[in-house]
Amino acid sequence: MPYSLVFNFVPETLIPPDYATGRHLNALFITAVNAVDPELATSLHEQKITKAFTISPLQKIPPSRRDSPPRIPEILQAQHQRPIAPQTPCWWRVSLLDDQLFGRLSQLWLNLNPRQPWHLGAANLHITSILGTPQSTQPWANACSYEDLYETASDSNRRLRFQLATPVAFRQQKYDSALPTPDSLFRSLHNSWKKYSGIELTGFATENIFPSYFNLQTEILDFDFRKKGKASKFIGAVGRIDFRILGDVDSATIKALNTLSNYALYCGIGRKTTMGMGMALAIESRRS
Amino acid sequence: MTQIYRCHLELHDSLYFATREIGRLYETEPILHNYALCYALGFIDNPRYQTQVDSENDYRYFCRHQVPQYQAHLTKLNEQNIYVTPARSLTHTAVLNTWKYADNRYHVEMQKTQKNIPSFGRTKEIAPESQFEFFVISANPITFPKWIRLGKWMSKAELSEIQHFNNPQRRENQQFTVPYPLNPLDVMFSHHVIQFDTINMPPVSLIRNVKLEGCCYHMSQDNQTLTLPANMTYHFQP
Repeated sequence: MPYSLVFNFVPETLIPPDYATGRHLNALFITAVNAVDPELATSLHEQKITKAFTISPLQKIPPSRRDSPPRIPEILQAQHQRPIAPQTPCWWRVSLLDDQLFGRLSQLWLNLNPRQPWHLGAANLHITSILGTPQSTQPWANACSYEDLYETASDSNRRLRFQLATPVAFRQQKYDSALPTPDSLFRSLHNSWKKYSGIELTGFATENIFPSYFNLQTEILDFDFRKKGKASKFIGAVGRIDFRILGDVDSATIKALNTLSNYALYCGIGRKTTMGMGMALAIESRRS
Repeated sequence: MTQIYRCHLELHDSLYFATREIGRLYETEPILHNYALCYALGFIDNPRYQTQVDSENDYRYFCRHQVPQYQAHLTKLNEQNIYVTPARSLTHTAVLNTWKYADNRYHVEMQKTQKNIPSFGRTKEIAPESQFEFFVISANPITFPKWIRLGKWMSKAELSEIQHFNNPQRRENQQFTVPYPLNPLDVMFSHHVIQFDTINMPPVSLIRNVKLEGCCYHMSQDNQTLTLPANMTYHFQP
């Protein structure tokens, strides 16, 4: 069962912008897993391709009035230029793709009053809550079994809409491409689905998908790996892109593509999804 | 015969306890832990409910060691089949208070201090008129007090029992969702917990919007259906 968990937390002291990057959040997650299951932490760390989890960049909760809850922006902040002030409510998303992961980490979700607090830079993080069920104010929290994702997917909806919330990029042979083509986008989703779901999507094909609307822009992310010969700057696309399934396509193919677009919430799209890139939401079509 | 009481609490004072301490801010979340409610309702070490504990663990106003004896106290409730769920807020507002303490004796011998430690902070408290809701599941009928006291300030709260379900319907192996907060340790050994939101608080984090599978009590009254997990008992971490 894939889970998308939102961690709400408050830092006790200032978080420098260098520590709010995907790399440090990734390290924080692995450290937290290590506290309850060192063996699992090592295996998650060593996974090379299509890792069993994804991580979002750190997000501040915008100030709100009491009568209107804070709204999560459509495009998330992928990196921070300024330090995050103490006592600023923040959130962070971790998604788990492997069926067993949530259960193995249940001790982590329930023992959040550890003797050693969680750290980002010098800041102690006070986790206030973890959301794992659908929320009206937080679109990134949810959980749904692979069977339900497949069973509830439409077999007639031909319009697939995506909100790319953090930069999306794809590896194409030697280089990276920031342009989300139907083939690269759906193949990325399909690769993750094949690895973790155990359900075969018969009829999966990308030939009849065409972009019908896009409002995209590029964003540059600097991961600052500080390693020689390792690219640290990534260019990705953020914004809206809609696809249409055109022509004579059988219902199995339509169902497969709808399943994959709903699965995007959990697995993300393209490269570096464990460093905060590739967060995407399928927007429900008004006409389905 | 199982009795289920649906209870409401209305605060008549501002309620304070530290759900978390963020630097100098001491924050009270609008959720009451079930351990705290057991003490507030007077179920602990009470001859009326036959929950007396051994003399070394007895519960009184002055406790020499100031260490909570949850396991010793609450195990007695398990023996009497009394279970209290955590309380959720129905309506609430919060107030921020700044406090400072100083030495106000008339004559103070001046001593050089080693460190300059100011003694001030802010508390976020739950304001009077806030309302909470919780359930009590018991094998025997219970008469509730009208007033109870809660939190670090022993704030006064009015207790009212709004619904009493006598012998609720019990169903086996159901998949159901409970919107009320639950104590995960008390349900996870008897039920398969599938999905939940965690609220981080000591001594045991609570969960809400819980989807679980197992035995449940099913109650319907006035076109309203309530489902609560059955077999909830106090469990403690080893």
